[in-house]
Amino acid sequence: MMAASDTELVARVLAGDDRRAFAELVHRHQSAVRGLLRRLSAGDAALADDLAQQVFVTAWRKLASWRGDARLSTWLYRIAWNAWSSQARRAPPVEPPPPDPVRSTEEAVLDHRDLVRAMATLRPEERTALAVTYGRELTHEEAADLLGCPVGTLKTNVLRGKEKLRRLLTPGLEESA
Amino acid sequence: MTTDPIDRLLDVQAAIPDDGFTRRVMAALPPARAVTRPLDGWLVALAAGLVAAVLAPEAAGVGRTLAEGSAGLALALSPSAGPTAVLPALLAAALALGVAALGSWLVARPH
Repeated sequence: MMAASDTELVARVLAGDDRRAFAELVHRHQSAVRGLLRRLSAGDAALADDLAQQVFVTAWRKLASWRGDARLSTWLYRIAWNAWSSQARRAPPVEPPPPDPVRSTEEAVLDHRDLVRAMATLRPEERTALAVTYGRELTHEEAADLLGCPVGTLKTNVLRGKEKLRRLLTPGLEESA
Repeated sequence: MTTDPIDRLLDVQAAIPDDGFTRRVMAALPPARAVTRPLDGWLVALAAGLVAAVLAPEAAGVGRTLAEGSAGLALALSPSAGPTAVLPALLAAALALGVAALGSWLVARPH
């Protein structure tokens, strides 16, 4: 049997307060939303999950305002971005973790934890640009629209962020290049 | 497939397993939506306007206008219905009756 589309599930929620349909939507999109918020919060999973919960509760309340002209995931990303922005205004900026002992290129086996640590040292606009563009959910145009900045600015921040990550994560590459 | 190690690292989007997150969200949702419709708000307010018109012909215009205006507000406040559509309308009804009664008293009192 074919799985119901997002649009069908939303219609079922709106028509009859169908919580099972909404649970399916949460299950379907939780990974993407939590992933985005984890990237934005530089790996603070507890904070990211609290915000993600807030995102889905907001989505439940405002589901009728989703017109279906954008993908549901894009709409959820927008709510997530708003939740993150409000939180970031209230909370102190993300503290970069203490630096790792320097490793040689041979030892430098990059993993996700390295990335999370390095992301925390970026400027907020660079981290944000990378967080929203590397989720494979949004195009550059959609990401720029989400952040309210020109596409060129977004691309610049992505490039700068990537360059900083490269310097932080692969120090040996610079010398050997 | 990109060969840039940074691109590869950023691209690795390990799916986050649903470790009870959906259950957590569902538990945090507000209670079931009330199955009222915006029309309910309109009906209550219009009924109030009608009652106001019957009770106090002299103040019916004001009472009905207030009731209908507030019902419009109720409708705007609650695009997807729910108790919020009915509560402002009930307030409008009370207000309309109050204005009707006041108008009636003002007209009826000895000059």
